[in-house]
Amino acid sequence: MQELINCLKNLPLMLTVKPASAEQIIRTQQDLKINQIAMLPQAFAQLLHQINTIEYDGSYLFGINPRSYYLDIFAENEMLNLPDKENLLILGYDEFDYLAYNQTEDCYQIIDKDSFAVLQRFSDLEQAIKYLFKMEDDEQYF
Amino acid sequence: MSKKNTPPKEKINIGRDLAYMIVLPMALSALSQKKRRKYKSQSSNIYENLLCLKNSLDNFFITSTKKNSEEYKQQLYRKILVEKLILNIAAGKNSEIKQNLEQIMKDEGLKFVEKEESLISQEEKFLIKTEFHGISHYPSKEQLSAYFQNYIKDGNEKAPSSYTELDYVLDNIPSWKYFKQFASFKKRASIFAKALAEKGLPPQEIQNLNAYDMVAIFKNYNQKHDIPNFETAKSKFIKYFISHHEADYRAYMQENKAVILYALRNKGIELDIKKNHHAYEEFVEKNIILMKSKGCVPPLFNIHHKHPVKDSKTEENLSMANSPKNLCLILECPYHNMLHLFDTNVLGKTIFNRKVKRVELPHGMIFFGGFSRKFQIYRQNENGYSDILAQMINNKQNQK
Repeated sequence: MQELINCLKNLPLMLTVKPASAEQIIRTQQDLKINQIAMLPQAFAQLLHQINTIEYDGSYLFGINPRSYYLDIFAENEMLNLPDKENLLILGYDEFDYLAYNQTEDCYQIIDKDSFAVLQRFSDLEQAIKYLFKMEDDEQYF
Repeated sequence: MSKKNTPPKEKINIGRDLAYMIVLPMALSALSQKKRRKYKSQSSNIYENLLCLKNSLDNFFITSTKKNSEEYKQQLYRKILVEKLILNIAAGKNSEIKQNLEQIMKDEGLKFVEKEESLISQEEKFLIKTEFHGISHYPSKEQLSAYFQNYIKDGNEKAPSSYTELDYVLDNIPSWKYFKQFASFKKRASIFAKALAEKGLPPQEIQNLNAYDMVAIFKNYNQKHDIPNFETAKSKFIKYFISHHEADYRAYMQENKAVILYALRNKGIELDIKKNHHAYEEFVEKNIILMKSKGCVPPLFNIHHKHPVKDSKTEENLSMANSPKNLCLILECPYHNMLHLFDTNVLGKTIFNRKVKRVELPHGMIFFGGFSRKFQIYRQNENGYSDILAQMINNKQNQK
């Protein structure tokens, strides 16, 4: 994961936002809980201590933004009109898909923005982030 | 900004767009504030900011000095709309906020349209996405056809193949009718055929393959043979945009500096202008270099499909979805978010007749940086065929 974080930090024109504090993360968890939205997975909460929001080449990973709704994980999830919010937390998006954490299945999913069809499943956050930011993967089934 | 074929632009300072950059994200934020504890604790601070903005609206919106002029009346009307929005944000009236946003967008010239729904299949959409983003990942195993899943499971693709590319008629693959609508795939038809041959797929069975199988086979072949990826529609569009409209984009980023700095601040980024006086100019310059060299979408912006991808079933081909005519570089927050806030599917007169409601950007618009015409860029040569022909005849006559 650290390798990926370094890679993300070095993306061209990566504008860094102050990492999220423990207090901010706890408050966001509470906000999510009060509003019956799935909570932050542990790996993502840990990531926020190092990288808080990523925007690169039309792909976005949410974080905690006390200034605006923009890329703020709680506000963005509140605004989205999604089914199954208690089990699903949207972590980011690109032009076509959402990256979501499915609490019940404890996995990361790529979901079509319009049909909400699950297109890909990942057991770890690193793979899911690589998918969102179009980082090449290795062959899977050949 | 380009002078050719561009709608007339009004003379305006950036005040209006700056006001929108302040208030619209607040409005969108307010839409998401239901039970948030943080919002409650910060509400007095937000209220003070809103009050301050409300009291300054005259400075932001009213530039006309002639109180009876049409221009003045329009500016006053816009100011009142924003004032209403501010009051509703302060009062937390969510449904009114949405209505106010719609009114503002309509007043600023955006069209809301209702159309018959013309949905595309998942495979068609997958190919539009693939052309737009490229193939960084293999499709998931579940997306592969049952036929191909079994073929891999049995290890058939590893056995030596006796087939050559000439043994394959790609038109026998049902999804090829979609692939060949995209120049990026059509041009690589022989690579697809070679990839099929390498995997040893019996030519008489290729009708069982779906679009996901084809992309997986194609990606695997390219990886094995170090064939570079095709250039994505996204990258092509950005390169097209910057090569045709660099001067316009530079002018926008320069004239709109206050708005862009505010947008960065909304995201939690402060450019250290006090320490480095050229920090903003360097930021813009780096953007442009990346746009030109890699076709990267610049920070704060995103690409909007004017005619939505999910409704791309037209008489024309699927690849129109990713054509520069259908794409527009747009400020993500608040404008792109606002456009999609109103996406709805509604029932038509019968249950079989579904309609979609969308915000439609004007034909020819290639860049949306704000509501003022000054901050929008239109495609050059947006004239019809007859105008282009007339221009060519003129040029020839001049040469003579």
